[in-house]
Amino acid sequence: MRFFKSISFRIWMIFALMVMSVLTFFIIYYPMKQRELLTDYKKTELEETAETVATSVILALKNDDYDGVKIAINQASEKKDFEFLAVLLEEQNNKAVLASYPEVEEEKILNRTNEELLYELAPFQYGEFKGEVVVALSKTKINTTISALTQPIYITAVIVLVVSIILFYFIAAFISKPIVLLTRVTNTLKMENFEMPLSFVSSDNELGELHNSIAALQTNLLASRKRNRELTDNLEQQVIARTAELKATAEKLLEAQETARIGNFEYNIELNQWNASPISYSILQMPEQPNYPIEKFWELLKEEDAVEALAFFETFKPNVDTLFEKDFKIFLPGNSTPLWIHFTYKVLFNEKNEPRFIKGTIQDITYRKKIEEELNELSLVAKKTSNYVIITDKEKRIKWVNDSLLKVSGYSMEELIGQKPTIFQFEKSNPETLHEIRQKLAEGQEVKTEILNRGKNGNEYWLELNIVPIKNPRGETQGFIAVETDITDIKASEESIRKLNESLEIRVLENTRKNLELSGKIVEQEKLATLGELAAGVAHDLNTPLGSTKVGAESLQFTLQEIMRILPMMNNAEQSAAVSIADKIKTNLAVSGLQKKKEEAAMLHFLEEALNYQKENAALLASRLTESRIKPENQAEIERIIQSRDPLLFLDLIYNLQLKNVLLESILVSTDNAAKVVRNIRSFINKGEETGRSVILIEENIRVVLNVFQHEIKKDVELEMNIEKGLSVSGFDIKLFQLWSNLIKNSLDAMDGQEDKKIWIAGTKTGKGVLIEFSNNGPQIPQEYLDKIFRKFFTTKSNKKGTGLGLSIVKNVLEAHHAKIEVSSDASITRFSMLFPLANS
Amino acid sequence: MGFKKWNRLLFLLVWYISGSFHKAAAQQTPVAQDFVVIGNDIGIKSVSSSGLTSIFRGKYSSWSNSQSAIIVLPSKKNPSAGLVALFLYKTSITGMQKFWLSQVFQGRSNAPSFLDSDEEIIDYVEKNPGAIGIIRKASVSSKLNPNRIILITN
Repeated sequence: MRFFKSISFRIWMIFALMVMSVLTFFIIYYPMKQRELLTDYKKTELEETAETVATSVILALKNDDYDGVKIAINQASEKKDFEFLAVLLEEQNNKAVLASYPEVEEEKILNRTNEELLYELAPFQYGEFKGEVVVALSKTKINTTISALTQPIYITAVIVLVVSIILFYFIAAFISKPIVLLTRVTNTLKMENFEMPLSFVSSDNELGELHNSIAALQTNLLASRKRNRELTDNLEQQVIARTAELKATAEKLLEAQETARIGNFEYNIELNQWNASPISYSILQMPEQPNYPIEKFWELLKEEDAVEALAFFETFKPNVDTLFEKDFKIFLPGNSTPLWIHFTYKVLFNEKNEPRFIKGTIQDITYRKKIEEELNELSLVAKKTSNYVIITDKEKRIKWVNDSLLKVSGYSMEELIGQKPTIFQFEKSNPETLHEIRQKLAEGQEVKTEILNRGKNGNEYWLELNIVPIKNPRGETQGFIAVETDITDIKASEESIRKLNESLEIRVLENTRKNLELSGKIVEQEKLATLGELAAGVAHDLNTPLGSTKVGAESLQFTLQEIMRILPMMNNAEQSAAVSIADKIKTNLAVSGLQKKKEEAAMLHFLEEALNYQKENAALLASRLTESRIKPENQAEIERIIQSRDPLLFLDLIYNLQLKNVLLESILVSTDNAAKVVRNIRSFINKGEETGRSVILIEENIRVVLNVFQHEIKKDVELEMNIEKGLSVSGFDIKLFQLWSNLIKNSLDAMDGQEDKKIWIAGTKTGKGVLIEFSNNGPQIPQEYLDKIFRKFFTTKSNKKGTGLGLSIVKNVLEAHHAKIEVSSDASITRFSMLFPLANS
Repeated sequence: MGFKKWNRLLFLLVWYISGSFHKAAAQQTPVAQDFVVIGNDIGIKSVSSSGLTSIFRGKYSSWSNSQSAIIVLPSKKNPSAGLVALFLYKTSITGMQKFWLSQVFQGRSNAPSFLDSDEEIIDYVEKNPGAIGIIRKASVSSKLNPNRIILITN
């Protein structure tokens, strides 16, 4: 059915009807005209035939020549629609058929009543021959002829009709295509399917322009819909947010009502509908039901209260803001405890000034009433107490004072209201106390103090004052309450006691002097006790140089044995030369591994290149020369060594002689240090003073200690020292010896039993001070020990080795030098970092 | 109307009656002996009276020798016409014309050749093979080829 309503069908139908009309007219008219024309033609033809035959008969009769008749008949018979030809002769006024061709019944010729035949007569007369020629044609044959003629017309018409209808269908579809497309587009747009692709087309006609307008409209719709969607989303979000806020607000309102124990109600007078918040029902202990008549509340009131409240209703007037407000005391059923409620209501009028709504609140104020009662009682206490009570605002202006204060001050309430309490102070009031009061009150703190005040009449009185700030829930000070106790009598008593004490003071001073003397002795005793405590440390201090001396002596013994072993293998000249070289090259033999390697390489190069020493033992010789601290600049000595019979043995002798010198020097230094320790102890004991502070060169100071431990270090420890030249601190050299000794000894003890032993000593000057680091690759110090290792008697070593005083001494020495120490330890390295103040500071 | 007029009418009546007598005397039933039938190559030499009638009534369109039959008759201008009509068609010249008009009209026979004199008949037959004609005996002349004569038997 939709198709028949479509625009295509309508256009097509118009065309189709037109074509059908034309063709129908043509189909009807054309054969009719054909039939008419053909009939006329046939009649004419028939007439001519009849006349021809008649003429031929006349000629035949006239000339006795019948060939013309034969020819005429043959010609007539050639017509397919020819039915018959006949010659009728009239004899005695009767017509009779002379002959017919083809032969037919005479009756048919004479009557000529057959409707299917078309007759034509041609009269003739010749002499006594009078008659007529009758020609008959079959109408059926004419019709057949007409049909034969019109059949192609019909077929052609049908073909034209079909072709036209089909052609017009496509033409209609073509014409209506833009409209259908536009309809489809608009229908799609109507369904809000705006994303449908809609290309722009040529706009050289109205439909094109319409199409393009719709395309533009679609674009605008899309944009509008996007904006609408965004707007809707935005609105939805706002609605959601607003709803949530309203819900939260409603909940907060209910919560607030719950907290404040206040509920609201509304009565629609016209509809007689009640609506109240849950808290209203809760306060009145009524069932919380929709439209529950909260007016039953009246029944809970005393009769006179109810009458008053209801009577007030008549006082409400339109456009006049009136509120009924009163506190009622009611008793709920089954409860003997009274309930205080604060009841309010007002009447709202409509535009006709008729009462429309009653709105009001019911608040449970039982607790407030109770508080008020308590406050009244407290107020009475404050008013009647013998203490003085002052209440001020936050500006410290007096709002209220009690009777006692009025009495003692002599002022009236009116005189004091608005004044500040400073009205009571005068020149004898302690300014410091006043300052303290002001300061504490400004900070919102409570004040407890004593102060001397003066009344209006000049009477002075002492007060024990307690001022408390009154704060709101936000912590803001709203005012102050001062409770004052009159201590004038107590103060008088204190004065008498003070005077009594003054007499006692002289005796107290005497006793004190005696006590001080006693205290000096106690100090000495404490010092001795401290010395006792320090004894262990002192023993350690002494033990270090003594230990060094012992180690040095043992090393010296070994060295001398070596010298004595080598000496017999040397001749006198070599012995002298060795002594000479050893004496000349007096230097510390301790050298770091890295430096030694560098020097060995330089020496080997020197031997091979400068001295052309190409022997196999050149590398070994270079190493031994380096050990003896003989450098390429000592070329004469090196040449002397090379020229000896056995350079290695010769060098061995030199090294042992050098070692002997070093050890002896170390022993001397150690013994000197021990002496210094002893001197320090003696000084401490005698004077409690240290030896003098001096500028100490760090490298030199450390090397002295290294020399002491040189034998142990050389045995299996790789030492690397890297200290800036001339680096110095201001300090006590003995104490620093103790410092280095303990650090080195601690490192050696820590690495005991370890195959690979390394010690790094580094010193540098930084912006903050002199940084000296002692590091070793000993085992990690557990984290929990790091803050304990500097305590006295704390040790992780076995009892044989550790006294637990080493690092304690380190800490003491560093404190004496105002230096700081930090310890870091992990699996690979343990480092003691010390920061000394700069020497000039 | 005067006397002369009545005399003229009377004369005409007398002439008509006398003429009628004359005709009655002349129209005595002719017999075969009054006529000579001539034919040219028609395959026969003699013919019976009934055969002759059949031939001249157009019954045969061709001869036994396959020669087309051409009937030659005296026209109404020929003096022999009345006798021939009477002899062959038992009618007058007009009747003979009706007969042949009817025959030709109905396509039963070919149209005969009507000639205005017996001499023309003799000459026509002589010139046209298949032609058969009839002349009065009185018209026989030397022009007639004896071989053309068809004997009429009883």
